[in-house]
Amino acid sequence: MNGAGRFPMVPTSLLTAAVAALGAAWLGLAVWIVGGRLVGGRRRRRSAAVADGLASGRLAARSFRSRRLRLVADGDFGVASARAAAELVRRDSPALLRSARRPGFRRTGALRVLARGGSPAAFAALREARADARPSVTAGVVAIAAEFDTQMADRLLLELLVVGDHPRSRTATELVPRVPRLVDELLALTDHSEPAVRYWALMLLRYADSEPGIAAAAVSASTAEEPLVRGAAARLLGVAGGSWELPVLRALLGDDVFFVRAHAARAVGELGAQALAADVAALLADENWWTRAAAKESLLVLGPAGLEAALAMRGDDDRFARDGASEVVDGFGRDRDVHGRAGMRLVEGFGR
Amino acid sequence: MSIAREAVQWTVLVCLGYLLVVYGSFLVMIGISALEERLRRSRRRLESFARVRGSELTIPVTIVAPIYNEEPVVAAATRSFLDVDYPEFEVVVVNDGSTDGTFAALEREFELEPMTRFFRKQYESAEVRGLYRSRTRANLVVVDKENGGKADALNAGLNLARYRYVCGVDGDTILAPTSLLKGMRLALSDPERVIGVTGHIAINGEPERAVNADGDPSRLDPRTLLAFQHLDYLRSFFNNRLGWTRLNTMLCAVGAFQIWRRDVLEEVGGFSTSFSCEDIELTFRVHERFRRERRAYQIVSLPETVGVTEGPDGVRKLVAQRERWQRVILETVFHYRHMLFRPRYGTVGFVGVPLFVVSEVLAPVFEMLALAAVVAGLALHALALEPTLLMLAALALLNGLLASTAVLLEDRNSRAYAVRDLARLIALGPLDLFCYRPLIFWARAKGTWRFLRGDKGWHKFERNVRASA
Repeated sequence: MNGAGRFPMVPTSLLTAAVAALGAAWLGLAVWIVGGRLVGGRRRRRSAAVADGLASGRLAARSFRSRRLRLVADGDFGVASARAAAELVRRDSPALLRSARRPGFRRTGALRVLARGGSPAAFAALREARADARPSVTAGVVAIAAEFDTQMADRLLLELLVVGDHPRSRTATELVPRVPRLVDELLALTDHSEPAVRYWALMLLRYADSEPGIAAAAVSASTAEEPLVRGAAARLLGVAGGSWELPVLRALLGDDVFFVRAHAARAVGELGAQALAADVAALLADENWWTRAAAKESLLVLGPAGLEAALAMRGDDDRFARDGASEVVDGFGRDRDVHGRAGMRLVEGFGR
Repeated sequence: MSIAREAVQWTVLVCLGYLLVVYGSFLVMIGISALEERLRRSRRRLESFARVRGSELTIPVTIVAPIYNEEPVVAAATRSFLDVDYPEFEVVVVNDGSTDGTFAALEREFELEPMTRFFRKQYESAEVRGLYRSRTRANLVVVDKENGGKADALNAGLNLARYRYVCGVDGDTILAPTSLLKGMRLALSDPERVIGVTGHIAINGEPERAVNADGDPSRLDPRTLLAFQHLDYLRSFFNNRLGWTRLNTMLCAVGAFQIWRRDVLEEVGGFSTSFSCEDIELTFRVHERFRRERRAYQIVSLPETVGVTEGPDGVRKLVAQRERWQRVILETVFHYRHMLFRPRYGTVGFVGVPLFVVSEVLAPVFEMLALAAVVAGLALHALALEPTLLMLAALALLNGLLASTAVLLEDRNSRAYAVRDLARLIALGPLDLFCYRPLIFWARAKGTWRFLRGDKGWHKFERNVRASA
């Protein structure tokens, strides 16, 4: 081992070859990165130019190769994407349908082109893909369906909400703008056997135009066994309730579960139900921080009635109620000296 | 003499074996990272940013920014936090007893006025001197408190946080407008499982000048030391953290951008003030708890750049910063050593922590051995000059290759930097071994020594002097 001048015992030629190979690999990668960036930039600029031409009608989709059209059809170019996709569907719909059934990353691309191109088979293919239940495919189906303002898309998204293959919050996000025309379906879902579906149906109904059926659904859900559903009912009452529903909201303010009380408190503020200001102010003494925070927010939103209710709580026996009331009063900006007096003791303390 | 030569040669062999293990693991991790990057890039195309951005159903977030002596950058940084593109969020800036004009800069920029808010002291922190709100930005709260360290300031911010997700950032970080949306998109895609998110942060000597008109990172610092640090971060995130994400063994959600589900932070007791630095330890703690309790969870790293943070522009400052990092790694790994090779901890115990031990904890030991052996070997003629130089050249090129892979993965996601900046980063890759690693080696050795002496100080580096100053 100790032969001077010979260690490390690796032939110099081998080491030289390794250095040359690594050098070539490094150089090759460098060329790939820089070249890829330059070529990619050029490709994107050309696609944008083609999209411009297609959108304005200056260029005809028929005059382009499928590869170029695919870049536009699968991109975010609005009308141009639809025109390029329509041409691709016209040229080779069967091939696109085959791609749309194959697993892998190209599947969602093909589905998107079919849907944008107006293929009659597009929504059947989307349903088929949804049944696959692979998370990335389902995410793709949601995103593609969300692009279309059609009944078929509405129904597919509702189905996804019920099945729950994709996070329901995300599907619900896509459903929000469609709610006004899905009221009947959503009202039906407020009786669904799965609490999570009922919850999302109630949450989505917040975006519907006011209808007596909606408030009735919220009232009915306010006595549900699951606190999640009762909380959603409270939130719905915040936008759909009226004077008839105030007793229901009052009952929810006294719910056993803290987050239902918190949602009810916020709903009172949202509804502007000044008659319940004192009930909300009573929650400033709640045992839970989230509920107390919601009560403060609600009182601030309630305006003069909220301020009056908060001022009344400043003499309360409960320290949390007094502190919360001072904070609300400070929030109204009416009583500047409150800060001076209370500022030395800003901490609520432990345990609650 | 022959015994000495033999000892040197054996040492070189051991070090070569170590290098083989380390670079082998790096290469495997790059493969996994590339796969993860491809998956994430494909999935990103399936999401509608616009809808999430505009939806009331998107869960609100509290951004907590602890600051200490950040006068030159604090206004720009806070503006960047307030300008993130997200439906509902609040910013809690915690002035941790700064001794310079940091608080005055905030007061001036955001027209602060005292406010009353009674918060629950869920986590212990140094005394809060006052709470302030802004007359111009409704969602800004500034906490002025006695100095207690970064973890202490984060805990004070947590006490004020109102929302279900908390994003911890550094006071010298300029966040990109899309950062929160990018991070929360991942969290919201599976809120039950995804409990923590982090992302790549770029480095610049003046982060407030490193962003374009849209607020996105776009400029590489012209100074070589900062470019090397930028490259180092790229390697760390794109070659390693993405792979760790795939294996669910992401062991460090960086302090400059760490999103956590608030209930998780509550469950583990917030940030710990017992360690030199809070981010790695918290990530280890969360893994330890969730694995021990056999709960499904994920801590993920974004394959995207979410902001720019200030990097030290001098060797002394860099060494001070990296020395602290080495100390916290040692403190954390030592504290959680029971996770090593324990089946209960799964990939964290069998892959993540062992990789940390090999590539971070043992590195200074082998680096020192290798340096001593090469110098002694050449002096004693125990090593032949030509093959030694060729080996060093091979190692340098291998480093260049690893760095270029990271540049590639980043560029595929952001296309943020000009072509000349890409070329510069690629060219710096092979020089890293000779120009930058020795500094890191020195810092790690120093950090190891200080860890052994029980030093837990922060040794914050002084702010870089601004060109305009």
